[in-house]
Amino acid sequence: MTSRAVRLTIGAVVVVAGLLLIGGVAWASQAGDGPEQPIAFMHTVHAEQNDIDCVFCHRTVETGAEASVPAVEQCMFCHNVINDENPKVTDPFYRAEIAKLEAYAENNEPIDWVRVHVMPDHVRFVHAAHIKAGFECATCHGDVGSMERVKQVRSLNMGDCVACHRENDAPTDCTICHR
Amino acid sequence: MRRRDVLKLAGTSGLGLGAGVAFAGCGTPDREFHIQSPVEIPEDMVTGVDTWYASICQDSGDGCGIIVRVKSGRARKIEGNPDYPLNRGKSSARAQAALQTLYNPDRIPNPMVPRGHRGSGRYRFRRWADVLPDFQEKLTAAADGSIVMITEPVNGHLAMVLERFTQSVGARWLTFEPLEQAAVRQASAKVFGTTRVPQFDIANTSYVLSIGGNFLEGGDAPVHYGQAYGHFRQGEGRSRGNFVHFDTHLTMTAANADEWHPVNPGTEGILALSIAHAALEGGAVPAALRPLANAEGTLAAYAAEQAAGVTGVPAEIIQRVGHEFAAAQTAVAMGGGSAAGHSNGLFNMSAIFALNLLKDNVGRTGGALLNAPSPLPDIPAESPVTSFQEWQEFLGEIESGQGPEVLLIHGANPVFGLPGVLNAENLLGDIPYVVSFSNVLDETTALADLILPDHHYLESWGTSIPPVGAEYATLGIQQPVIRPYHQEFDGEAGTRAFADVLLALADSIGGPLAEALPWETMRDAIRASVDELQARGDGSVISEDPESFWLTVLQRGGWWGPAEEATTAAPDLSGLPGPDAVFSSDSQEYPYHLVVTPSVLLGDGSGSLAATPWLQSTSDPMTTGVWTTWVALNPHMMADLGIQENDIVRVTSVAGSILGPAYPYPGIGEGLVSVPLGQGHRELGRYAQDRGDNALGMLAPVVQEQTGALAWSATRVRVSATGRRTRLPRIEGITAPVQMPDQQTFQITDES
Repeated sequence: MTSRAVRLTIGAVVVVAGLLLIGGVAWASQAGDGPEQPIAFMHTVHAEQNDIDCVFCHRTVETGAEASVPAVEQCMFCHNVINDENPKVTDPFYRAEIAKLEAYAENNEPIDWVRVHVMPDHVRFVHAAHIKAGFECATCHGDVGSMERVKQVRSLNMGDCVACHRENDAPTDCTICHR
Repeated sequence: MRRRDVLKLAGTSGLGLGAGVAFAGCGTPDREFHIQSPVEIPEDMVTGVDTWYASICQDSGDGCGIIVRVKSGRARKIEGNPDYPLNRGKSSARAQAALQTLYNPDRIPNPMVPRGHRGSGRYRFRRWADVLPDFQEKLTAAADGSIVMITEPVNGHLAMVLERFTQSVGARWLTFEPLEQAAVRQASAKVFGTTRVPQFDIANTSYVLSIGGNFLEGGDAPVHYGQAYGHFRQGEGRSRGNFVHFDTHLTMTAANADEWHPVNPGTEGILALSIAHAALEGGAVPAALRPLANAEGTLAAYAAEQAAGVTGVPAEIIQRVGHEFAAAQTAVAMGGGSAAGHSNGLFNMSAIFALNLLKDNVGRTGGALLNAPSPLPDIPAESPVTSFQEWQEFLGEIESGQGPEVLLIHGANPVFGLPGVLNAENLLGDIPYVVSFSNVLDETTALADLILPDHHYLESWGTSIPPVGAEYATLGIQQPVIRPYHQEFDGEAGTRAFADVLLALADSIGGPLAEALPWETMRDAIRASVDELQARGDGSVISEDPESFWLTVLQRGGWWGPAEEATTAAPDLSGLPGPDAVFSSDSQEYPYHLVVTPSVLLGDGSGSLAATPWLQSTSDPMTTGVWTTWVALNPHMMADLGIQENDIVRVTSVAGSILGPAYPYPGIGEGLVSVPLGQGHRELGRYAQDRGDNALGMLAPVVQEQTGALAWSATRVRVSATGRRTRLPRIEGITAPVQMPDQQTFQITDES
């Protein structure tokens, strides 16, 4: 084996090992829970146990490109009553988290949530079009009602988008998403 | 203050310096991955909707009008501004790639000082509040005349601010243009009476004669000329124009011409006068050309038969082109490129431009249109340019111990762009206090004692006066389209606009400086000018209300109005250098001419464009090469030298050498070596660093006597194989050609 071939082989082994490592880390980050949030908001409590419709909070999902996260004011519609002194809230963990929300409201401070689903800048995804076509939120986002911390369940990469577009006879022109 | 900000600050204070902020400064800032719950329900706001903001592109060199798509606070796409007179909706790859200079991971996010000695390559971040007082003290303590400001050539409000700032603090202002165009500007002054090269109205002309003028890929305004060229060829209501191009090698513009004829380097002026002689049928020249003529008033010395031997262009072609030029209903003669970079560049360019006088086309449709002056008298349309000779003198002063005490640098990279033999790196490094305002770590910024990073142009205010444009007096406005990516938190870190730093400094120093620069920010200065435009009551925006005038001007990307007639001096072609070019060395030891070609994508490489992967990976239009430097050689010459494709060759001049893979290029003569510029950075971040080689560094310091400019086409070289091989990354030749069914195939043959 020439020295060039040896170098290439070593290089290839290092690259493959690196890819495995990166792949492993990426997979690990998808497994388990999603990122920690400033308030431990639970979709399990809201979407599953109390059966609140997704659109109640994510107001623009049927009309706009983005689903939008609710304003603090909107959270307080209910949490004015379901506050940290409400006797029905017995769990001290929930009391503490609700108190955090109340603090944001009192201080007129917006909440910076950590994004779970991030699309690259060159992609234009329009929620409204997909909802109007009859898709459930869960098709892409999974069963968030069962997630204590929301995580990404689909790769949502180009292959994923194109495959779904093909299955559903949706257009696959480049400019549908990249424009 | 938010929790993260506290952490960042904790990181900057005390012994923990650097680590916290360094980490925050790497890669994408945290907040880019945040989604915010507003406090109140925004009833009328639909998130996720695109907003387009108009601004000006400052990366592409010509100041195109752009519109930028912004969604969720991020700039996502750049297009040409359809309203803007210069480019009318078109844009360039460089303008499109500005997103990658904006979101470049190697941008400098905070003020920095070197750790240890200067040039150590290691830095620590600082707060603005900690570095500015010291900077101000150094500036005020410096003796009169011992401050030097170096910038790129600028116009508009920044030029005005810099002019006033440098005058008030008693500083010298040097501008740096690597491939100096002094010969073009001064030839324009001689022929057209103005240093602003006219707008050649190719859209409405019937014949374009270009000698070295690569207007489609370089020059003043490639996007403007690209669009005009489209009209020239296929415009409605007109017949297809004819385009003849002469140049030393086949460039992109040459490839678009009906005819391309190679011309020997340095003989472009002789060729132009020979064409003039043919156009005049050997008769007497008009009065304006008299200084170039003989005692009888003819150009007999340049008769086609004689000129053919010197220029390498066959006599019958000179004759035919001369007759065609004379017979054309309207015609323009354009020039530039390497013709302007010879020691006789002024002669070449004057002779080429003088062809327009034969057609008497100045100020006429389809001719050379004089550019509209700046709409505001105190806002300069042109930048002062420091000649190479002045640069040599400046560096000489430093060498003899009479250099400045303080050096301020913005946007220019002389360490990369000046010929290596000038030793600029060591000499600028001898200046006691160097401050750079660059937001990328380039070769010159690496010498700095203090780096005060500028905002990107998509984050800051500015103006631009288009390089060409006869129809309208235009003031293009560059407005911030997003909040600064490296945002300040409580004024402690982040980037700040260069002009705003100067204005704040003026306010803080007070006295005549503050009087000269009375505005708090650049926005205020621009607003004051826009109010002046509103008072005119004409142009693209008219409104009684200053506020709605301002907002509409911003919305449209600027203001343009009827141009006052440009007044220029009469042609004066006296005192030109002789027609013969001088080269750096003898033809025995260095047998070949070096043709340095600015990359269509990366320019001359002195800016930050090489730091963008999009431009790096876009194919060169002629060779399809990407990501590196190559050496284009004639295949016959390669065979004679025993050089194979992809052999790494060394190109050596008296002043240095470069390495690059040999690329067989039939579109170049046997005595020439063409090397693209743009690469060869030691700094400039991960995408630019250590790729290819920089041919600017090996240029011999031959000076054009009349202009004092560097004769950057005057370097002779030799070529030798190194015995090593590599593979030039390119698209051409990696897949076999496919014959498309029912498609006609064109074959290009060598007639000789």
